Amino acid sequence: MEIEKYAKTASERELNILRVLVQYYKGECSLGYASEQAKIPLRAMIDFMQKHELPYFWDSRDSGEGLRKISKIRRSL
Amino acid sequence: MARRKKIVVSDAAPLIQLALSRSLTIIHRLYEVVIPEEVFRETQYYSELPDAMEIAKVVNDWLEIIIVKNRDKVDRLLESKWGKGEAEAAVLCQEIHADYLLTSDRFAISKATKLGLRTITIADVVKEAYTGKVMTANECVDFSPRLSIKIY
Repeated sequence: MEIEKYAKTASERELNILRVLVQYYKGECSLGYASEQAKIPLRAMIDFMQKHELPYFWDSRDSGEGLRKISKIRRSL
Repeated sequence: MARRKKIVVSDAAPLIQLALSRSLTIIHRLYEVVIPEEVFRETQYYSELPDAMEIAKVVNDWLEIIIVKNRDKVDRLLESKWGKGEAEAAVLCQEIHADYLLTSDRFAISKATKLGLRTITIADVVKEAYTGKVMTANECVDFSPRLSIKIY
């Protein structure tokens, strides 16, 4: 039961990070703001992005790629 | 006559990215680098990690920390979806009349431009390193994927 509870919390946390990253890829906020909204340090956000191979938002191609990958990660959670 | 190095105020993300790719010194070779307190704090959240230690090591050597004076202005930026470090970096950039704000996201670039600030990204740093003969073409090509940047 404890493991199930922990897994649920972890996936809820990841979903929250993905939710704010959607805002970031839509150009609605900065990366720093996104990490503050997700309640994780910026360094952890950078780690999360590297782990999931999410791009930094430089141009519209990155935005599209980021949103596609987020959608894929969400389905796997 | 020696040319003055341009002054760059950096946000936390580019510093962390450069430190993670063990390339932090590139910005030192090109610019005088200044950061506000909050940016330093953000780089030190996991102070035991090598990238954080690398950044801490160069403080007071070539990386200068300056305290932002205008807190009201920082607070106003925080209300418009800036991160704390980014807001302090933008205000510090104005206060010390820095040449550039080094940032790593589109939102910050767009907002900073509206404040009248000139911005650069890590891709610009790599390009300048190449033109300034600080890096070879091969080093630039090798360096770019490590930072998840594209050089067009």
